[in-house]
Amino acid sequence: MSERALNPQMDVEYDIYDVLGYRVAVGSRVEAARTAVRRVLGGFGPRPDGRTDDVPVYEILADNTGCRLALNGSVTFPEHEEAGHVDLLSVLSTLEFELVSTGLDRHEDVFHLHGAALCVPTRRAGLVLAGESRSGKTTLALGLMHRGFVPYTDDVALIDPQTVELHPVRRAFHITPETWTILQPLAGGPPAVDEAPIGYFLPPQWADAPVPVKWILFPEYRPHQTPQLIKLTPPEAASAILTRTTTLSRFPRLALSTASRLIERVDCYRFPTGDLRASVAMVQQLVSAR
Amino acid sequence: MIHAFTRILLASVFLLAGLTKLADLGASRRSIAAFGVPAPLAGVLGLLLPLAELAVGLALIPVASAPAGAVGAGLLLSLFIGGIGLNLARGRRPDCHCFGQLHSTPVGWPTLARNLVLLAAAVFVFAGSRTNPPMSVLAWAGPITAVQQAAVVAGLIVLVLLGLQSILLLRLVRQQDRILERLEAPGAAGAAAAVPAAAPSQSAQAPGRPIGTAAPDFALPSIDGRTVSLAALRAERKPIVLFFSDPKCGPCAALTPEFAELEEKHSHALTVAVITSGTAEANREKTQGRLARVALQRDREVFDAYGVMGTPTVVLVNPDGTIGSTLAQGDAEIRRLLAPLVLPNPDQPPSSQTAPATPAPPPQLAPLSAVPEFTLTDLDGAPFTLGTFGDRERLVLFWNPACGYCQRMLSDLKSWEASTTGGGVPLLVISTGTSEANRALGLRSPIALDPGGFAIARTYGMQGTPSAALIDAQGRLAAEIAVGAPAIFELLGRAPAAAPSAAEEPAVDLPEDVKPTKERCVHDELLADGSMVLYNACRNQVTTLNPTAALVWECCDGEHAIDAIVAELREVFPHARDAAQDVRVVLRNLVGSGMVSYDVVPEAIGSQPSDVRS
Repeated sequence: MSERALNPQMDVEYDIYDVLGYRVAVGSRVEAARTAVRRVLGGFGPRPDGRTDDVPVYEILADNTGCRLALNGSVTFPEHEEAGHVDLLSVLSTLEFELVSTGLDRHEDVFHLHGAALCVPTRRAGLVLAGESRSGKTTLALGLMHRGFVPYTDDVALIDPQTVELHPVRRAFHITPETWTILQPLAGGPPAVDEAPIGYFLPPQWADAPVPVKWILFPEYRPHQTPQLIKLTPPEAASAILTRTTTLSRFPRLALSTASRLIERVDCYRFPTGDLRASVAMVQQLVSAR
Repeated sequence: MIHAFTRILLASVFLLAGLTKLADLGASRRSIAAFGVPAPLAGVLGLLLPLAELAVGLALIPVASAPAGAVGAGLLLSLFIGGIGLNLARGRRPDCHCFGQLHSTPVGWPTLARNLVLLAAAVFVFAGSRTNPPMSVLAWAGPITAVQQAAVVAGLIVLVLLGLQSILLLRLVRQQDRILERLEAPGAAGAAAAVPAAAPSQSAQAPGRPIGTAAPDFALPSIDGRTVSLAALRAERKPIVLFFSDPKCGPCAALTPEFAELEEKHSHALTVAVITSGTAEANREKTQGRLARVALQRDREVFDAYGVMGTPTVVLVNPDGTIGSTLAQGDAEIRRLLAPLVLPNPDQPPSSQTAPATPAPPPQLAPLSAVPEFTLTDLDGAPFTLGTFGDRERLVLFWNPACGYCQRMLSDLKSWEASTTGGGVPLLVISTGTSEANRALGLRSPIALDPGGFAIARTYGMQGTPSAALIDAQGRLAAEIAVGAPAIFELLGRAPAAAPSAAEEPAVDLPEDVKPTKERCVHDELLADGSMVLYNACRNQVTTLNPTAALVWECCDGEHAIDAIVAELREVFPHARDAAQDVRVVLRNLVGSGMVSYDVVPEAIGSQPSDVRS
């Protein structure tokens, strides 16, 4: 990693965020960058009790040629000087990912599953939509949020290995431009482009209290296909879960035992679908059938 | 005689409709808005429509102006029929407000039929007037008074405006159709690059207040004389189901028993309250005392506060007093909204329902099938095709610089590049995003941007990033599609060798007297059904074993020779017909995949390697 020393900028305004236990200061001399950071990291702060002298300090450097990200005075992104400057969205994406990754790494006793997690409207049971990017899980999560489901997270579900309870992450949803259409009722209208960086969305409400996972769905986007819930056998569920967790490579025993416990207590389904409204209705029906 | 009667009846209907709407202009405007007319236009039409109805009614009274009145009635009724039909076809049943406060129910097929009958009456009046008509089209206007002429002219102007409005309405409906099509394509995300990054059009607004905003407070008298307020409902600290109803609404009556059952059986989990209009007596009759909280609004003040356009409608309110859902309108939508609320006590054990197990779906591109060609240029402008590295095995990696999982494997990928300089499988990276973002990755392998965003990846059957396809020298898929870092590194790891498929694992000929031992980097977990999942940390590979194979695995303790494992298998599975063969097959696979090794017993030294590791 190349590092380029910077002159300290005394006029930079910093906000303090607590990203899953990783306290950092993030600032910029550019108001638009600060605003964008607040929108993207809004689930983690800013904290009112901020001091910058004992936490890692991130700064977004911006000028007419583009943006860079510095950590404690050294540019860390782009990594190579020859790459030049990049746009604000790339810097935000890198910053957000770095903070969340570092925060998640501090939760070694929790199982990470790649997917969106929500609780049902009664807030007594949890649902995980696990899958790769573009499998439709975020879109389905947004559709369910219209129907009273409350989100814990969009991207990484944190699950207690013993109780299989979901824990809040509050990470901004990563969305594509056309998904904005679905967001409008949640956001109270079309999001202002200058306020909301394209690609991020903070839901108006988050689930806070832990609830046990009762269902894990693995959505698969199949254009024009009527949704279908296909229950997975234990080995199929184990493969599906373990290939979508980062815990496995770091803590194999924890990952395996958690997967086993999930399979015992949770109904796991493949969910090929190409119809959002029908998918939402089917999930509503599924969680009501217990 | 019949003609005169019909004419007067039609006139009466229009005069009554116009007068009652004028008496309740606010509701008239809301009703028009509920039919899908944009709010600003609904405000104007809310006034013009009753005026037009009055003009038509007045014109129908004098014989001379009856043909014009009949034409106006026909046009208005056609417009009503169109609007009602469109809404019914879309599953919506807004309040018609046809006769103001005198009679307002959600529209339905009977409403449509009534308007068709009235249209037939208008045609009959017009035809009857023509059988004994004035001499010219304008001649009838002569005998009528100046006031009547003015009314007719005003009516015609209104009709022109209504015609313009219908065009706008059609455009609105088409726009909604387009949005619905987009809503129904959850994974259409792949075409991100082709879609403007700006915020979408405003017509996708869902009815009601935005989720997460404060629910409007209210305090209303209930039908039993108490007070129902949002604050009191919130005090129960449970999700609140607000059921917006009306004693004159048929679908509401049909839903009432279901709400009563909901309240009765699930009061531990939620609170139900009905917001309704009309008299306490009428509502008591409808609910028959089965619902505890039936609140009477004076007019439509709570409906308006929540944006309710018609009944039945339901919204969820969170215990913290914020809106928890969009409005569910109509019985079908309401039942879907309520379904997840009727969960039994979640502490009870999971259901034992089983569905037939279905194996994981095959990738859209099967191994050994020809892969799609592509022609791109890399970030430096050089040609970038499947043949960039000639006719040799290569890996096509689908990437997205903004993808967290891609970022996470980036450093390992760079390490792999560094360790395989000149000797590893060539890597072709097809990515999205900007050139700058991709240059910033620092990868040595050539990168090309897919101008279609994720289009090429989709032709390979990819659903996300990172994912990869190993292509053999003949341009065929050499192994199953790899999704995620572990699977990709597995492909990268095996590609320089012969890249055998799973079915072509080297057949290890096991000596008789070996005592297989689990590799230390393999972790196992027994599953509830007796099957087992293994994780090979050395290869970052997950494998599942059926109960038979799981038993063989457990016997790989360095103590059991193959014969002993076979005996163990026969003891546990006495009906296993080919236990010896099963054990050998399982062991060969385990050895071949590097999860089991074996030491040869002393007397076999010289004929076999002392330690076989794949």
